[in-house]
Amino acid sequence: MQVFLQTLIGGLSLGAIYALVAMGFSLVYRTMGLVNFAHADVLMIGAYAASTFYMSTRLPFALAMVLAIAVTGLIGLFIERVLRPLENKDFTLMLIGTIGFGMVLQAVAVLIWGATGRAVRTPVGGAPLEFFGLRVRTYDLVVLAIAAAAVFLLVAFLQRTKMGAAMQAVAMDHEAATAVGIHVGRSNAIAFALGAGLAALAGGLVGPLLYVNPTMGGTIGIKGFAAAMLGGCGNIPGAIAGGFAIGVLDSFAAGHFQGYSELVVFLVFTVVIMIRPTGLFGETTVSRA
Amino acid sequence: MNADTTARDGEKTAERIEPGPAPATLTVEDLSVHYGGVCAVNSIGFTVEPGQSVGIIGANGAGKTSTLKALMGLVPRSAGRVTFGGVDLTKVKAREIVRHGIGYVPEGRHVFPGLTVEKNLMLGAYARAWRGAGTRESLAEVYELFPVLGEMRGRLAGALSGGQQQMLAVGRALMARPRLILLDEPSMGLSPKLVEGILAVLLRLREEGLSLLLVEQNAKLTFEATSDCVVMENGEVAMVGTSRDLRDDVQVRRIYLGL
Amino acid sequence: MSTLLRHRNAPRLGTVAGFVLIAWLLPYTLGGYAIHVVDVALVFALLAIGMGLAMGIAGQINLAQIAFFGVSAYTTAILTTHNGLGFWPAAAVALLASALIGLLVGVPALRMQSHYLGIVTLGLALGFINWTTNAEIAGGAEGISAIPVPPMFGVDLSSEYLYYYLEVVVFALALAFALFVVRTGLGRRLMAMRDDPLAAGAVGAEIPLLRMTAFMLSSVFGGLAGVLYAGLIRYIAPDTFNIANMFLLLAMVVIGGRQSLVGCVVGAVGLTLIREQLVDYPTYAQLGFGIVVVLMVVFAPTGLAGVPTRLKALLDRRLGRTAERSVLREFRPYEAAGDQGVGDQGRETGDSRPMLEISGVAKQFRGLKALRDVSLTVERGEIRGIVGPNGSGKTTLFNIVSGFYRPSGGRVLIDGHVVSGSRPYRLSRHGLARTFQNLRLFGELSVRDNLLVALDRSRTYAIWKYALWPVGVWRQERRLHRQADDLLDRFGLTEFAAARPGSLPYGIQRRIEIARAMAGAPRLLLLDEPAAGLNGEEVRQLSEIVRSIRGSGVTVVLIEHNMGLVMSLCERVTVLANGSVIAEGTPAEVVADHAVIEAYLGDSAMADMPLPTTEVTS
Repeated sequence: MQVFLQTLIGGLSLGAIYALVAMGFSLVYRTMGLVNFAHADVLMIGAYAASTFYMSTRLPFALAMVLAIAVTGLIGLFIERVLRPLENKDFTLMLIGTIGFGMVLQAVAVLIWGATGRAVRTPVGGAPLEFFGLRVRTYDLVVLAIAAAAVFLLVAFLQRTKMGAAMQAVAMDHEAATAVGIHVGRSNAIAFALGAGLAALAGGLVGPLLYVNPTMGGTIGIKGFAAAMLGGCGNIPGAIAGGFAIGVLDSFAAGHFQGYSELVVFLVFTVVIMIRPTGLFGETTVSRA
Repeated sequence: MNADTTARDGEKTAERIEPGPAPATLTVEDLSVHYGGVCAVNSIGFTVEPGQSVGIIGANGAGKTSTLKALMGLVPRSAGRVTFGGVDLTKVKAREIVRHGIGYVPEGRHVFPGLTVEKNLMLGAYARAWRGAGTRESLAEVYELFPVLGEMRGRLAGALSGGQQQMLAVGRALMARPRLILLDEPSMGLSPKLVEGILAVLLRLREEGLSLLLVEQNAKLTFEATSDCVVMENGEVAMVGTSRDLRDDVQVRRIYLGL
Repeated sequence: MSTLLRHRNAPRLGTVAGFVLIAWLLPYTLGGYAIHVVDVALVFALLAIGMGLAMGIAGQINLAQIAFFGVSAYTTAILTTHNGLGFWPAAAVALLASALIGLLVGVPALRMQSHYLGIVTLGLALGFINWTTNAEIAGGAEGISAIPVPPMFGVDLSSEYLYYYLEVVVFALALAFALFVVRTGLGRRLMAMRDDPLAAGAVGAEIPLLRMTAFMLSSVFGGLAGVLYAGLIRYIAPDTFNIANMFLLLAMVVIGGRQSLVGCVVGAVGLTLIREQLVDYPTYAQLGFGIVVVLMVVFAPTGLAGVPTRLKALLDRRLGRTAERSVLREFRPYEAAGDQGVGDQGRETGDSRPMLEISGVAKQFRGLKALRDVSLTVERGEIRGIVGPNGSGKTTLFNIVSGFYRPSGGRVLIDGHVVSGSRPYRLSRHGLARTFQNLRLFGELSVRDNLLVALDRSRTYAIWKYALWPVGVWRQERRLHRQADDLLDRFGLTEFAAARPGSLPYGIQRRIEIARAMAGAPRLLLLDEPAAGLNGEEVRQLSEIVRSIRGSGVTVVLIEHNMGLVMSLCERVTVLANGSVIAEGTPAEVVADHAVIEAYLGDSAMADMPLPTTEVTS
């Protein structure tokens, strides 16, 4: 029991990261039907930017994070602008286009920061806390708190602001949205920038947990996509649940299958998604064939 | 003068955008619409005077919906001139049309299903304001016109019945305080009793001095709600006349049944 | 007749001989390192062909190609180094293994498409990499070295020059096979599935099997590449099979042109050579490839292979040439039933079972009742009209009959057999064909190929012939092409045989769709608004065609808004309103029916007025 709970807790912080990735991915997917394979590399850029601002420029961690989010938001705007002609037209081409952007971002990262990775110092040190014999790292709590705050802000933005409502309206019916006067292209661009910002947040947070390197996006990104799919692509509660599901699965797989954990995670994921293609909290927009 | 400055400055800009009572005439000349190789609308023309209500009737596939969509800029116009209150609408982007005082109720309602009734209505006022006094006033007016929407303001629009969604779509268009409202098949899929309700609403809007352009298959509704009608056939204007005259015209019925 | 089979792009003997000569002489001009690069390029070319087959031809996003490559390379390596198997037996097992993995990776394609499939296949590829870096048997991060040199009748294949000849032969055979697949029945079906899976199902393509086939083909080419790679480098490590290389492969295919196998090869060879040139600047190479991929996707989605066509189209537009130079010729009527023996043996044998029987069918979408308790019976050899106001459920009814929707209640019988709930391709084999309201032609296929897809009634499992009896495939092709010629001629489409449907006027496209539906020799034909968008003359021709089709023994049901056409064609008309049948009878009865007029006009008072006494003309 003790081991079980300890493993569960071990999966939570990474789960929160996957949830952030999944949320950004879903946000973009839902507003413009674009599957952003560069999302993972935007995350990597975010991780590098945050660590650079934090360690090299010696800015406070929070400020470094905000700057990293701003930088990647701009990258997001740029990607959206280039791929805009393909929006709502050809899924496959857009997907390939974002993969192209991913290649570019990785190359840029190597050019700026070099091919070798770097370790990021934990912004909050100190011994792990103990609750009822379970050990929890302080940084894990920070990650969970920041992720929770991000979810809260995102939901508030979507629910309470004019732009948020407009973005949702565009996602549901872009023609009707145009008719009430919403600038669909701009709404999409903002969705993309927000998605990129969420990826940067995830990247900045994951830095101190893992090693930051140009190819770090691959695994985290794909697990984040998997989380989004498990949650039923396109809704926030689903993305959160999917993220934690993958995080916990990860943690258990690491405990039982050591090196093979990734293989196990993807096999389990494939089987689950085969059984429920619409995800666990399904939306019914999968195979329109 | 773009959408988002309006959004940020809220009330002040809203005043400026407010169409106000200035009367405006819609003039359509030689309007054509092509989809690929097919000509859906072929060089049609008509006018809607301030306060006038005009119906466009015709069989399925006559080009009625394409005409409305072309007016809204939602499908590309291959030729023609459309002016409203002296403004050349062919040069106006689809998302800006509403800011010139034209409201649009699309065919099949097209409410935002995952948003609440109230959010749907507030988005109707997107081009004017958000959460301001003006929006609240308009909301109150719509709830007064459609009390059932007031009762369901917290429900998701997707959960409403067809008739309620239709009211919501009309209400959403009214939120922009238009001078002219375009309605596309508001009776589609509704029971005769609900169609009566739609008629009552249209008559009330007429009384309030709004110009109406109504596309309908339901001839009865059209003839009762409008003063003049355009009969379309194969993308062209087949007949024009007062609703009263056309109602008794055998030729109209021939066109209508597609004979 | 032999000229029939000459594909418009079929390589001429001279071209082939030229390539053989170049391939033969190439090594004499190259240094030791250059020949190595060429050897590697050929491996990537094979991989790219496989990728092109899955993504470009079949439209299945496959981001696991690098894993198929790896499975086969690792199997070869492990079997030769651990189990002491000879290189070629190990290679055979490796090919089987990658084909098997291909089938397994293809399973998710049955349930999901597009980006979902992309993520799942990419995830599985990551899983494979994870295995290679951890498994002891795979040598972990160090990989496996000392793979034996493949023996070849005393030829020393450790020489990269001699290995080149082995590779070139394998590559040429593989490319020829892939081109054969693409240009015959299987390839056409795969492309039809890519362009429009719904319509492909409706003309009898077994979509699930075809998706699996696409992945298997892809993996076999990946496997072939893996074997050659293992024999060439004789050392393998996980790095070769990572995601970056997967994306590089994708870049090759996209830049070359994913829908053209030759384009894929050009892309693969080109990018491999460029990468070698930039071997000291790998990051800049990646940056460049990424940028080119993005530009290609936005500005030249058909890749380099598509550039000539695009240029030609641009030139044509500049010069004001259009596709409307030829006119649609007259339809040549079918011989009357009995002479040809298509369908409707019933009339002669006195079989009185109705052709179509719909009883109590209901359909709900979430809360919306689209159809409620719809029953109607269509007799053999009848032309039945289905009319009704917009949104009355007519197309929904067609979608249920043709297997696109499952009814929420009730059942459908075709020729006395219960078919409700069957998949569209089964219904197609059962003698049902349909057209679509919004035209669903296979956009990237020529008009002739559109018809050939539907003419081909062979089952998907018959593709074993491709591997074991290609002559059988060849013969069937000749037969199908003859039938296609006849069909093109009958529908007056011969001049447009090579054109893409999208480039033709709307009226011609409508006729192509009817020809495609008739290609399957149906017993029951459903036409969904066949007159929509047609002009008066075209409507007249349409009614002649429909009459002739019925005359040949096919039962026809049509949804139509053009009442003139319905009045002149149909014996009986069924009227739907709000998802229910409100009237049925002869056209004259129906038009005089109070309920019908009320449904159309929304007014009972108006329905009581006298009917116009216009002559029915169309």
